[in-house]
Amino acid sequence: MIKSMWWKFLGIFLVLYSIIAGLLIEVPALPVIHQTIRNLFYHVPMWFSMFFMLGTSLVFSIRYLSGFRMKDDLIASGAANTGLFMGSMGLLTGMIWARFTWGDFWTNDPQLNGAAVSMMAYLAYVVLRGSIDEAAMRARISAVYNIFAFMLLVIFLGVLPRLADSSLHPGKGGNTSTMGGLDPMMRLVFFPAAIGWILIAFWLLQLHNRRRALVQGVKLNNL
Amino acid sequence: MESDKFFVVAIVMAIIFTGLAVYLFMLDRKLSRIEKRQREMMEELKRKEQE
Repeated sequence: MIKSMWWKFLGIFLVLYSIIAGLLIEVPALPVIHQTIRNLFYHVPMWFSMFFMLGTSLVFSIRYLSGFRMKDDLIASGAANTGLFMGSMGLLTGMIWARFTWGDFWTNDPQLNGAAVSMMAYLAYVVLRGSIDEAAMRARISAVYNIFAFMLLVIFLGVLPRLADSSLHPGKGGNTSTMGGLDPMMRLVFFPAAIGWILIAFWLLQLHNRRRALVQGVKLNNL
Repeated sequence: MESDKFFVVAIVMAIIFTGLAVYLFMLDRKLSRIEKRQREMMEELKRKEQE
């Protein structure tokens, strides 16, 4: 199933649909954000796919620790890299969006600071891997660190913004609107967009891993 | 909506994304070919070792 092509086509189709429909549908007229609410279809899926990538990374790190197979380490680090890429895209697009709606590239929002801290934690993962020469040691230490980094991610992006006193992000502290309040028409574009980008992220991850497996001579079997 | 000409932007973005997707597909197929060749080389090596 993973080797086949259909899910890649599905990802492309869903993202294409979200690009076209996202620009063409009528969106609710809201103050401040106006038409930029369409960014929801492009900015938020970046974070969704980052979560899926870093979750994959966590799973394969745990798998590595239970069997010490280099294959699992390769996938875990590839997923962390792909997750960092998706997260960077989320940060950059979010900063542009914030500049034109909230007035600044960076606002003191718990969600933004949480995102920055968790991205730092994963950058530290990359640096940690780069600093250890011995392959088995690098795999073991970084796998343990990865579990810690995922905890940070969950706390800083999932828990603290919701407990905070005020946030500009929907569904977070002091802000009542959630996904439950999303316009039904926009849902029809947003959820396909999220699924499409998650599939594209998995595709990027697969390409990344296959290339590195070829270079390092690791057998990936069916991935 | 008609006077906004949003559809022009939609078409341009769709073309760019389709181009990226085609590039990814070509990369994917190229990787598959290299993987296949590597497998064949490994099998050949094994056969030579047995001889």
